[in-house]
Amino acid sequence: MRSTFRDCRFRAITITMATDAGDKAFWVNRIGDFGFLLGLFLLFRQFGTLDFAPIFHDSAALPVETSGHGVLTAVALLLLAGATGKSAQLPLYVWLPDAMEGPTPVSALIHAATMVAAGVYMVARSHAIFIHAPVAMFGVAVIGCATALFAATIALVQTDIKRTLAYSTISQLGYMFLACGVGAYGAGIFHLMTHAFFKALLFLGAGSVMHAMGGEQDMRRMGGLRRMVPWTYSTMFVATLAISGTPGFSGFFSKEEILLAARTGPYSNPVIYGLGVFTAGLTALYMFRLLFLTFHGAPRFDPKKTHVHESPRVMLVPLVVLAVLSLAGGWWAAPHLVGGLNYFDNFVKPVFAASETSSSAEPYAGSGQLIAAVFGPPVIAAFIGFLLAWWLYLRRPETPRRLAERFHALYQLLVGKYFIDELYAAIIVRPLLWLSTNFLWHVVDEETIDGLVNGVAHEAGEVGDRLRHLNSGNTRSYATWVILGAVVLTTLLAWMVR
Amino acid sequence: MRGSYLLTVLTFLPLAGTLALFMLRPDDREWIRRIALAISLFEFALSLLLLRGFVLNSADYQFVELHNWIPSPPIHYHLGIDGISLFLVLLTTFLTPIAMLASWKSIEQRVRGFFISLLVLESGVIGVFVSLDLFEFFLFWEVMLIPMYFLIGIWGHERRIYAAVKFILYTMLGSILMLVAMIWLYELSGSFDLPQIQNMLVSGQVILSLRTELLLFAAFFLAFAIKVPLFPLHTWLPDAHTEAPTAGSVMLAGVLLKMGTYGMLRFCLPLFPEAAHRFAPYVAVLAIIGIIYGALVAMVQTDLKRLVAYSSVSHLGFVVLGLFAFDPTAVQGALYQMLNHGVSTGALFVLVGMLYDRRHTHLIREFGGLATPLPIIAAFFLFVSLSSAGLPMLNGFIGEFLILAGTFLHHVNWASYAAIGIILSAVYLLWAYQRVFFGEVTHDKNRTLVDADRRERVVLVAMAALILWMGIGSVSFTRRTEASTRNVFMLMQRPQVYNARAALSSARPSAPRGVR
Repeated sequence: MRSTFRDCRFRAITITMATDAGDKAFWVNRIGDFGFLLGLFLLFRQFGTLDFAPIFHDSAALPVETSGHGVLTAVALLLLAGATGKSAQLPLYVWLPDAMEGPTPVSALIHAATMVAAGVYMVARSHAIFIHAPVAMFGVAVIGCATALFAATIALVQTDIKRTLAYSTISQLGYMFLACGVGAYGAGIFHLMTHAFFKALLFLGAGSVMHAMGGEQDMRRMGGLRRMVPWTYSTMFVATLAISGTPGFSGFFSKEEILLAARTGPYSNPVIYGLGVFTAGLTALYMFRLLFLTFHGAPRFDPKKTHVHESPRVMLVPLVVLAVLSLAGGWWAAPHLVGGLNYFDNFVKPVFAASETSSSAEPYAGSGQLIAAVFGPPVIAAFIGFLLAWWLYLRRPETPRRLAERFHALYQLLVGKYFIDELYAAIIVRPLLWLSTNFLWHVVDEETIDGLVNGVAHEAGEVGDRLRHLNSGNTRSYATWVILGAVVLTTLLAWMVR
Repeated sequence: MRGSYLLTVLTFLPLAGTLALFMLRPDDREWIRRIALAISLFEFALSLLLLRGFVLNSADYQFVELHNWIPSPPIHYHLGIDGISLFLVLLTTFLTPIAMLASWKSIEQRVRGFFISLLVLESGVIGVFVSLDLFEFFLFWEVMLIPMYFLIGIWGHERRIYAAVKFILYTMLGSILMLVAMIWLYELSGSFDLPQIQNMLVSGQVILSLRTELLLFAAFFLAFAIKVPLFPLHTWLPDAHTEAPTAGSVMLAGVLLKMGTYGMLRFCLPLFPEAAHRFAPYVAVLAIIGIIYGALVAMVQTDLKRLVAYSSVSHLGFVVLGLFAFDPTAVQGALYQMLNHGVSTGALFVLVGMLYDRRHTHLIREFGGLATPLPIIAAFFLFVSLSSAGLPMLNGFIGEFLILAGTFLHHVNWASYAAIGIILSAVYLLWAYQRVFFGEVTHDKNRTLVDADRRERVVLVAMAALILWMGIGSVSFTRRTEASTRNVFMLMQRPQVYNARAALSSARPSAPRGVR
């Protein structure tokens, strides 16, 4: 089932001829599938079936593997490997930014909402296994947290509007993994849903901007579009507020639930919580940077050459629909206190009943806690991020360049995306190609094995050639051989008889 | 199913059909092709009758024909099939017309000889799969070398003589060992009849000493390993494939390699179980090396046909691993993977042949951007590549999954290493695909290429349909093979006395093993 997604995605990307990206997406996912497949085999070996229900039922009966030794831990870690490939987590995230070469609606659908969700879904679906493997759960939390932070820092310096969003997606997926890792499976799935709203909106908005700008993707050549494309601007503004976790918007509720679980849940971890809050600040910073660079300030393009125009209604209607959902989608899970129905929570709670131990029980037990959440660290961090973005990109637009010069090495590291692609090429791809060509093919296959085969054949030929000369046609030489043979035979017989 | 002559007809119809071709003038190419195709299609239609008469859930040989042939030594004309050989026969009758259609236009010289060779080859291969008498098996095993030798040596490419001689010498080396082993087995049992020998061994009438068993196993295994080919005995394969004409490659990859794995399953495992168990770790290591090694070497090939040839080494490694995991699921997978490899790799060779017909080269760098002039071929190439890379919903996935899942039950490390092969297969196939079909057209010659014509489309659609069906409807195959693959493990059981002796004669005490 997962691989069908992979197939479709592969095709979608290759249609645009961005085939390197298509291949890369396939290969990297195959590496994840390697782990996934072994995880399945291990499950099959352990439980004798691959059916969800019996596996989860049986694994619930097994003890919790606190020491980290055991089948369930191994299974969970192997499944996690598959999930990191599919949901673009460290270290297998490398395909997702490249896959942005595909058409924008495809990016919106696949990279925001549906396909990358498969990994998170798989972890949440297998919660019965993960909950019995605390070590693996910690691994999930660490990977999610690290990815969230890592991708957010890269997103800070990207100049391509779609690439910024791609790294933002990776970062938000990291939050979802973090949620699963701290036991807040419901919150993870909830964030998956809210993220789908605002990220699809952001991608479609980016597509609308590119449409308006005649295909331009570089934010350095945009600016001041706010009045020219008002609908695109206002909907993307809503999405930015949502992803930054502004109280009342959908992203607020889901992110808040995740971080609350990281702070107070049974799997809470202060470091992970702190980094999660810090990343929330970074999220606001890079998203408002995107917004300000694209829509605010003075245009950095030639308005005479580029005829900027708002997109047709067929493109705007989806934006508006998604904006409404980005704003209101969170109230599905909003607690009763603020007038919400907590509908989503009630919806998923029975599924995770056995293992759900997190915030979703009743996160905001009193009005004091709700106020604490609204003015809590994540919101404050996001506000600081917003202020920074405003200062750097609107108030003092020359500062970022100065900073980049001042911290040149750091800046290069971020622009180069930590040179992970280059690292993989240098330590895996190139050595493997070299080894395969020069050693395996030329030395082992051609020189050693074939050398041996051809050598034996050649020697056989030589021996035959020499024997041929015995057949000279010379009677005297034949007579010599006959006598010689007779002598040898007689000796042999005499020796044997004795 | 006594009294049926279907297997005799299937075995000798192609051979008899060559008579019809001999009656035609050598230069009457069109009719030679048509009649040869008609014979092979009729043969395929007849072979489908096997499906109808085949009794499910029976491990016995079916459609059995048993007649005395030579009184002394007692050699019988003994034919029969079970679930193991059923689909291999069908694969042969399916691929032969495909091979003929694929070489319809590319063979212009000595057309009559070419089609006669193909028909004789078909007879020989079917004979191998249906023979139940060792002598008869050996006869067909050798007979089928001759047409293959001609196919490579006469209608091949530049280095065809070298490739043909290499092919024949490699195979003959194994054949001779196998012949010695067969005669030795006859000395011990007094029979050439496979079911009879099998019964004697299972019932304990004939007891092989451990040394004898190891030697006999080694001799049979070496002959089959060369045919498979198992690393490091594989170097004849890239040369043979690269030099052979398309039809030769299709038959070679499609069915001839399967004779090796079939032999292992039919002879090595059930006749010499103790030796098989002792050799299994070494065989598995070689199979895993073959899987990874073949894939890595395939990855860096510059010649498209050589790439597909090395991919065969990798795929057949999976089959051998599945056989020597001694697990019914893995053996089912191995058998399925034999069929998959025949269809998918056969189709890849057909497609590479189509490119060759248009450009007269196999070099990847001579292509590039071919999806623009050749959209139909590109689409089928992608489909077949994905099937060969084991994409779910297509055939390759089923085979690899069953093999790995079954192997994993007993040998976690074997399966884990082998699974690396499924990463690599995606790498080499899709990378090659990208370089050949995507991007800009880099050579002007490639701009004006003509896409698949009706004949080629028929071939491609037939193969793609089978690939898809084998991916979705795998049960229609596995339910027919299941009884026989399970039976292999029944036949591997030996009476208690045997185990006691084996325990005595070996340093390592071996309890009754391999019996599940």
